[in-house]
Amino acid sequence: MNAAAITFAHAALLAAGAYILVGVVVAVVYAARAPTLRGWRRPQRLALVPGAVCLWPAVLTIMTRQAAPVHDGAGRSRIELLGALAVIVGLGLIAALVFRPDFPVQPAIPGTVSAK
Amino acid sequence: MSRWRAAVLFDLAVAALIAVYIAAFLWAGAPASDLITPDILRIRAFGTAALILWTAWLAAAPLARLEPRLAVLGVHAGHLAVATLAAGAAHAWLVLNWYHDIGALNPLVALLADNPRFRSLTGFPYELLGVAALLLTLAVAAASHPFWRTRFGAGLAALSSTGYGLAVLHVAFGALQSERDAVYAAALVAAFAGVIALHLAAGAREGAADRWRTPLRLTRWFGVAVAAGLCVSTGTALVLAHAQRNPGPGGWGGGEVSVSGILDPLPYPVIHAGLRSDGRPASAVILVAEGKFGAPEEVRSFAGKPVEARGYAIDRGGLTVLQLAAETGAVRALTPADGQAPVPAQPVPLGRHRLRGEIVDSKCFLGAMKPGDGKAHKDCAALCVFGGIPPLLLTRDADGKETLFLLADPQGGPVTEPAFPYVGEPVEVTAEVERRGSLNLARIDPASLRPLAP
Repeated sequence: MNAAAITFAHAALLAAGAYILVGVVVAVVYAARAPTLRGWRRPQRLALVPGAVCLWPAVLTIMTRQAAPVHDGAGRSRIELLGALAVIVGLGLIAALVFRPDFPVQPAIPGTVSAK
Repeated sequence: MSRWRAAVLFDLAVAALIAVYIAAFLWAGAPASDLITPDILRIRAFGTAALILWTAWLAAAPLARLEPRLAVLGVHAGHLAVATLAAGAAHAWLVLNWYHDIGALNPLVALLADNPRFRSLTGFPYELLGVAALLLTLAVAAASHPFWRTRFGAGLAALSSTGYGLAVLHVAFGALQSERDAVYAAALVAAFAGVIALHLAAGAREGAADRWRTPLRLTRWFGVAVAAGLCVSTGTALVLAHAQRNPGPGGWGGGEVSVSGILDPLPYPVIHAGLRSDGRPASAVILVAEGKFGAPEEVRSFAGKPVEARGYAIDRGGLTVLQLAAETGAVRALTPADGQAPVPAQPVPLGRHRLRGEIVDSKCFLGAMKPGDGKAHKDCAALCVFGGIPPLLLTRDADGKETLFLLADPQGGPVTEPAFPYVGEPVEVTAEVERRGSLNLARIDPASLRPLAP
């Protein structure tokens, strides 16, 4: 196995572990102290923890800037994004199906033993 | 009906649909359980279930906008996200345990490092696309609480679409490279095109002001929809399970057997067998250890001697892999008291040839895993060869007749690292071919090895 690939894999797992660790700390602090959650009961706050762990960079943004809520929209930008995604994935899908290799044919070699 | 009760009812319906799908898939695959390994059936059942759920999840919001009677789907789309995550995580867990575990690397490291073919189109490490898709699902599902939806709704929706696109490509560059039945390609294209079309239709109809009517009670169509869903779920599972390719014969024999013959140490320990305790034909027997490891090094100390090896046999097409018994002394030298020693197999040179086929690991391909070839098995094969399990070159002639060649380096020793990235995909290589008993041996020139796929 390629040594560089193994080193990269270890580094990626280490980075993922660090991300989760920081996420847990940020999530706990946020769930306990965030001004936006004033009036929320403890179970309600705890329900936000998984999301905060996964999306802690966004949580930090909320904590520092108090970002205003945005509407769940299927607006023009989202449709454009979806269109671009559809084109990219569609091309990938077509390439995967068109270029998938057939099993090559190998003429028999005299003297070899074939499967029974 | 309260909103809470409606949510519970919706969750129960989704759980029932998933359970029926998984059960139908495994049931339909059960008659072929001697063809396809049950663990691989489970991997496929949960993988297809995850992709179907993801399709349903992404279709939920536009359907709710287009048809008020389906508003319940839009309200509970987050629950579908969690269900998708659960099915996807089960698929990933089973894959890690089956294809990446009990090898020479940590399963997570093996997952990331087994396939370095980033510059190849069809050889691309599709597993990483699946990992990215699963992580995005995790983020979206974990933040499915309404609190996050209000703040990150647009961004999360984009994440879920991106994740779905990655999942589609994961299947296209993975399973679909090996599973050639048109049903799979048609189903994947239809699911993806359907989701995109629904979103575009909903977007075009509602523009920027998209809202769905929030029902506080279930519509009377819900029961009908669940019944129809159960039928569709069962039918889909049966069709997908039935379309799986036949991986060919081969598999584990019965209990422990002993094989006696002359031990040939290079390129990998092989017994040119004379006798086998279960009475089955004894020809060339490749020795391996438990898990994804080759035979222990000390076995080579019996080079050229008559030996008896005990273990568990895997047979396919006249070739045998013997997984040595775990205890020490699984291989012992024969003494004159054991009877007449078998005659060593003499090499017969067959010339230099250009060979075209797929490099497989002998243990899986002969039947430890079924199927034990193709793109979906590439990572496992690479980990096996890395762990010392002898690689074979599988070739097929125009009539589909298979020939297997044990691979060696130019000096006749074990295959070295330059060949590892090409395991599990069609390749072409120049080799000196010879026959040793009932075994074909190919001493490959690593510099001549090239992939046949773009």
